[in-house]
Amino acid sequence: MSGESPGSNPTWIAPRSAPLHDAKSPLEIQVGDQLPEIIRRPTSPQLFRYSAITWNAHRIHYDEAYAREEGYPGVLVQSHLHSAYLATLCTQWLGDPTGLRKLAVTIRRYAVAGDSLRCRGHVLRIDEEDEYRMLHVSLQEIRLSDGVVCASGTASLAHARK
Amino acid sequence: MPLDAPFLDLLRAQVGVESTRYLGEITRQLVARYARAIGDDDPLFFDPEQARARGHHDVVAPPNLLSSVMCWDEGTPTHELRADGTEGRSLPAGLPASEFRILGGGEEIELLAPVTAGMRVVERVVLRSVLPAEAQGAHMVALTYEHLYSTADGQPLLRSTRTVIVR
Repeated sequence: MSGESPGSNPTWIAPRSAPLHDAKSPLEIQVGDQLPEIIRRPTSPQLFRYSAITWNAHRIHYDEAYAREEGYPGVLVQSHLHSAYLATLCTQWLGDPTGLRKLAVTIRRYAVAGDSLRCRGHVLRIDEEDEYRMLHVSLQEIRLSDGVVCASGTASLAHARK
Repeated sequence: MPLDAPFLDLLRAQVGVESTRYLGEITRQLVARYARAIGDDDPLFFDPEQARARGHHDVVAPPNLLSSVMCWDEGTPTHELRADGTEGRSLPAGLPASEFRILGGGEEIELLAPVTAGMRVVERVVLRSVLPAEAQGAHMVALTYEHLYSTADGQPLLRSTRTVIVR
């Protein structure tokens, strides 16, 4: 990684348009706080649409026979869709899709259409700045059927004080 | 072609080599369809008036849209796609299109400025590292790329560091 990190020096801070889902004010958020969970249930039509809009022609995301040949029980959720779920977890909590400054996600296990995925996170660290608080959070996406962690990561979010 | 020393040398010769290309314009339709595809209904993605009321020029793209689009032009002719459906041209030069599997190995994105409809986007790509690895007895190579997305007039928008596994 090179260059200036927006995680430590954001150049834009948008006023929040909505309160955080847990209704805490910016100054009330503490290390250890949980983000309100979201559940995602990817379907074959959703995976097809995601492949289409990203122009991703990998058969493993829409060709079930091919996916089974490869040893999977169904068509796979795209890695960037896993990331998008975790990004949404963060931005819905923050109430501002432009508040996300950094997102790092690693895919641990596959997920397929029909799975139910619980996205959750908690606050790891808070950096206090003049106009905002930088919230650093830990993220997980867990398959409900067996508790397997399909994706994990971290994010940094700029949370305006006003 | 096995994952041997000559193969690694071939890949390592490309470390540090930059390429830059114009991707295209971010459209309201692209933003809205991407938001629909990920199941996020935040009005900033769909409603230009709400976006302007919050200080943006137009609708705002979901955070990882830029780095998720695999191909920004018409793509490879269908009959030339790899057997798994992927675009062979996205692989490092010299990598045989049919002999290896390509897997995503994780990504970190830094969001440097909001991406809004109407922006014309340029991408700079550079291969940062080539690392041999082994998992469950299988040899593989981890390629780490840095992608910097900017507007056509030079405003940085998003930096992506992603790892691609070749095995």
